[in-house]
Amino acid sequence: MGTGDYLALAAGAANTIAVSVLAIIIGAPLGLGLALIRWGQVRGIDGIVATIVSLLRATPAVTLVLLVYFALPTIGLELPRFVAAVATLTLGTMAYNCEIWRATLLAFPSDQLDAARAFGMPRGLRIRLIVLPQIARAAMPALVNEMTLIIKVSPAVAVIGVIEATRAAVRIGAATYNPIPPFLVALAIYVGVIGTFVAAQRALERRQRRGALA
Amino acid sequence: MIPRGIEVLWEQRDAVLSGLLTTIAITVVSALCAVLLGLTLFALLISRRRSVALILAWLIDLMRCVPFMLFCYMIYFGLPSFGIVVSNMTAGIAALTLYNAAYIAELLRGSFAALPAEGIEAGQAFGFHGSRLLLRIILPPVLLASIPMLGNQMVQIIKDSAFLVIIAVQELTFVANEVQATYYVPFASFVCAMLLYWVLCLAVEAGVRAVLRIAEARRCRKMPREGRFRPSGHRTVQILQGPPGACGYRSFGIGRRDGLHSRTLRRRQVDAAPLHQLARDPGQWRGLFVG
Repeated sequence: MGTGDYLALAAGAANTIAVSVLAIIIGAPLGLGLALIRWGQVRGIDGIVATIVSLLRATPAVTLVLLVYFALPTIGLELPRFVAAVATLTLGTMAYNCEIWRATLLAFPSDQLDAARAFGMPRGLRIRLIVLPQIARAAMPALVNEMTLIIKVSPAVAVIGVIEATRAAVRIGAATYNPIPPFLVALAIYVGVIGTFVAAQRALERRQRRGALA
Repeated sequence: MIPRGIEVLWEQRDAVLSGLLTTIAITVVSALCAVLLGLTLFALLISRRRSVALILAWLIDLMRCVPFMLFCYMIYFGLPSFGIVVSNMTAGIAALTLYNAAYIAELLRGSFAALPAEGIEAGQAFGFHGSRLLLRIILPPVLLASIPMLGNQMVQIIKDSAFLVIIAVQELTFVANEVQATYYVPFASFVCAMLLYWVLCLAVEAGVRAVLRIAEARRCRKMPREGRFRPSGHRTVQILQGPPGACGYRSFGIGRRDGLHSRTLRRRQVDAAPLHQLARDPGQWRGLFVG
């Protein structure tokens, strides 16, 4: 493996991180929105959301990315590879995020909401000031877990030709006839990225615990 | 466009069906192997040989950081480097098995850590040790507590099996992709694949629910029959196993006196109080049946 190979792997890693982080940033709020729809039992949409979330959670990322990239152009929506990749991972993480947020919302003590309502707090304010700060804290471990899962399914976008870390490693292995070294480098990249997320979560939890004690 | 897609898929139904059956076969074989290997790893993880357990825990943590697709490539391209040549299908099943066995071992260890230690200590006090302690005392509650998570892992195996498209295993996604490439019906073929995956996952979820129901029913059937264990005037109590701290008991005596039958009683928790309250009144311990 030469310097060029390491650069290719670094570029692949940058793609992996870009795709995953964009999917997380877009997918988490969307998931929260869906969870609020299900929590509020909005008539009509509620059942549709539940069905779509169940379907998306059962769909492998590879199948979904092929659908997004090859099928959307037939209805006139042609997406570049990278956008299709981000859209796929966003859809997947959105569905899982919805379930995570919903579980935390269902565990939320309703007496706090009753108290806020008794003080005449409007619904939007109730959700923003009372519910969200608390459920964000409670959902954090599950959310970080989901983020690491997204990084782990991100190689799926390679099937539509986005060169991310795994794909870059495979190409180097094919060119040099020695697949093991690039795979080990790719492995180190993933361990580093996922380890960063887990470490960030631990640090955040420590800070919150200090905040709770102070 | 879409009616044509459905038409093409109907013509290609044999191909789609064979893809679906391949996915099911791969999933079932790898799931069984992964559970067996996972159980073995779990036994090593909780063994007294701490050095083995520590190395294994470290390896499992490492495995949980690897994307399945990278692992699959590693098996597929790596095995020939060691002189092992296998078919794509075998490499795929091996990758799925090894990868998921690590997750299963970890989730079993999680369930094990959450269970109260008293049961195992009691087993040891009764002279259970080694494999008999593991099989008779440790595994039943661990497996029972892990059923939902094992179901999740099964769904994960179904979803991971789609990654095998990259090493040209002819499973459902591979077939869907071939059909769409040949006849240019991307929408219909991938939506069809998605729906089939959905059906598979819903079937797993239904299976998990059924197994949990059967387990619950079996536990209730072990309840003492009225009059056999319960002298009149005393309450028949079943100690429930649950998450730590949630130990309670059901009294079946009160309900019976009210003319409720066992089927109704199973569903209705007639009377529950913390165990320490029961212990405080030794008179109630007479006729107690620990199930």
